[in-house]
Amino acid sequence: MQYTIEIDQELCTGCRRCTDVCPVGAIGGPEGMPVEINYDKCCFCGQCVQICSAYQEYKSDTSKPREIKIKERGLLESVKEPLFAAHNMGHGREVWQALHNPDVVTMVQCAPAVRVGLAEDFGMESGELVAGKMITALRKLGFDKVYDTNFTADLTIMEEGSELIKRIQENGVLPMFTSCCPAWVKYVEQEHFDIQANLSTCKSPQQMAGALFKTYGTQVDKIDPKKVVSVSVMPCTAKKFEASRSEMKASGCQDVDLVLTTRELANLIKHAGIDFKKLEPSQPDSVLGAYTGAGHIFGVTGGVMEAALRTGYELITGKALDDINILDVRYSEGVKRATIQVGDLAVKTVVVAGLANVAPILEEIKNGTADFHFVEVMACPQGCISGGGQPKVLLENERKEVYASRSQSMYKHDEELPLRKSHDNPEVAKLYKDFLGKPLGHKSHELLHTHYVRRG
Amino acid sequence: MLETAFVIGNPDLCIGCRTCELACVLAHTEKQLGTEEIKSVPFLPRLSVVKTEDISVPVQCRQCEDAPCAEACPEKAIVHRGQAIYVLADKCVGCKNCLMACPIGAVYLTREAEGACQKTAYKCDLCAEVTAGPQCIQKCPTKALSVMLPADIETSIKAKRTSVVKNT
Amino acid sequence: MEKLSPFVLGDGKKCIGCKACEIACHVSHNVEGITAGNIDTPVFPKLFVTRVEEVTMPVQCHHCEDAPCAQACLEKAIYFEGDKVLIQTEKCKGCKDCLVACPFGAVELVPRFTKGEVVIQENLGKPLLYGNKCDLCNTRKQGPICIEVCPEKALRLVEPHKEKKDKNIKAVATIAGMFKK
Repeated sequence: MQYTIEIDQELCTGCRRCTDVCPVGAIGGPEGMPVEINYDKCCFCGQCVQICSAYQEYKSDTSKPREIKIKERGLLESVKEPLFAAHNMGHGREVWQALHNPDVVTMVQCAPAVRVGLAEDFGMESGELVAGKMITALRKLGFDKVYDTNFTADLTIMEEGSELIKRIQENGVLPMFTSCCPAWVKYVEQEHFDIQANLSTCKSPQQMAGALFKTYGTQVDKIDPKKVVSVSVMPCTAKKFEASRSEMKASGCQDVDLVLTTRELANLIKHAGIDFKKLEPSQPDSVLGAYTGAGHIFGVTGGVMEAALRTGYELITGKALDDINILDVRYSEGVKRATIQVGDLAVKTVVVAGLANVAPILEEIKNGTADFHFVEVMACPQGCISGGGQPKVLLENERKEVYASRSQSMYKHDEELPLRKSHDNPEVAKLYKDFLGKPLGHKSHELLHTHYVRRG
Repeated sequence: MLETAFVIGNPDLCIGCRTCELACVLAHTEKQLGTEEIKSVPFLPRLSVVKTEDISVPVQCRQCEDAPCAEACPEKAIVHRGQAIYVLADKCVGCKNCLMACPIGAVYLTREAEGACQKTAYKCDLCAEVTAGPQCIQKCPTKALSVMLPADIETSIKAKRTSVVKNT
Repeated sequence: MEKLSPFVLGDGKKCIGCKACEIACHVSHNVEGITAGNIDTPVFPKLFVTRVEEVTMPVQCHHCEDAPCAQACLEKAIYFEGDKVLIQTEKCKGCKDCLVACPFGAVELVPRFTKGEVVIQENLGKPLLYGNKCDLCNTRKQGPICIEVCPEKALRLVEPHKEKKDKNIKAVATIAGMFKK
């Protein structure tokens, strides 16, 4: 496969359900014919992959039989689920090989949203939280180090929170937009490069983790960074593209080598014959594994915003919020605006859920009428829990309920965690003390910040 | 050119008494009214008297020249016979395509046919097997029903055209 | 008026050929769980989205009043339960008479799977096949799932007696039109 997402022309029925969900109008074609993706517009968000119901029939007369298609898609041979026309690149085979290669050290990180979706591919309840089982499964698969993207989500808050405060206090470029959603970043690079300076310079948690695996991680465990295969498990298809970006080699080699979607992780677990339901829970490894509720809620719309506010509020006012649950930024159904009083400053926030919904916000910036400070943009309808790589809901009449269950589960996990603010994460504090220095410091800029590229 | 005839009810004359329905059922059975055995005959008229707020009128098959019921039948069980569109009951499998195809609901099906259990489509057949012709027409107390023969339609058309010219 | 068997009918004018109905049908009958990762066999729907030039439409069993498939079945495995025509799949010997008899091609022979593996017959060394056709989701409380999931509302449950009644009433207007003076 050449691109992160492709549409199999043999399987596509031209029904255009993908055209309807594509937030950037990247899919089209002549009436009644299979559709094609315009890669100058595509952001790899994967919503087309989630909605596509054009499957390969049992005795179909396609030019390539199922076995060949499975191989071409990078799927493990043991995968039994049907093949649909719209699909993403698979990296299951490569990860399996790495896991069984005695000459490499495998390190893995899992995004927040994975742990409320993964269970569904094992027939468990929608939105069931399986954070602990997920970690155990990764250990049983043979990953040498099981870290957590939630850790670097906390780290992102430290960096991005400091960046926002700096921009506000020093009259920097405002409003600031989050940059952790790679589909959103690609969209800016393709269509709105004029606002690229508004994007936070922070890398996404995935990429921060990747950079740290092969520097701090290898330092702590005294491993040769060249032997590390850095894997991530994401609810997202665009993360596969993000990992392959040429500038993402702050560690000296590609920071994230292989990205698996939640679905691919389920395949891998089944391939290894692990009985997921029976696993006992366990915790991620230190030093890049501990996380707080704030880092965890990144996976749902409004989560990055809330996490940033929980820390930002304390950094600025020196006090904690009266209510750590900032309901005003949750459950955005498109564009949700809120003003949060932070000491003397009325911070105006916007939470955008669904990439197509960012249009009015960009309009306001171009008109000069934008009065807000910080905007969270997630390409997927409800944030990462509804990402292109999550377990694929097959019955359209259940989709809304499934997303709601996953969202609720995210907030429930946050409520149950002992630590719920990023700046309280002890491993983050240790990282700064032993390695990075301070947020926005020299080392942070080298490893944890990035720049953007004009595309098209 | 026109090959089929159909029976039509005049809503101005129809009093909604449903004698036509009874006549239809009796026309399609050997059994006699007033006997014991008539009770075993299922009541399946091939026309349905419909009553709305202002009118009552029987609805029955138009014996369409391009009968959609015939075209829809996967078993080719509906054919043009005589001046009617006719269901060959032995071929019918009860698939209900004809019922769906008919725009006026003039075809229905039954599981209760007399004799061997057969679930077939039934519709107005112009009393093809009755020597005296359509019984609904003959038994209607207000003479609301009449037959439209192809020749009648053609004559009527010619007359109407003539009167257009004459009146201009 | 008699109540005839209801059945599901697709509308070719609305159908976009997406096959969401086929997926839902298979999932509802065979899969525990609601995501793709739970499907561990090939997909065998009981309705078949068919394309003829520019038109697509799902084709499925009409639950015929005198079902030819039931008459044709050598093992008497096809039977009437209330107003549904159902197949007792354990009795099926894969004789294919129902495939030939059905005027709509609404029956298929499909392999049996247990625990994700195809069942192979001991002596013949080939997969066990059985008749598969629409059962109006007879074990599902809310009835046919295909109707619910179609994004274009192209499927509906036809109740023949209602269909006829509605058409009769509409026909009254046409008759009044003929006699207008």
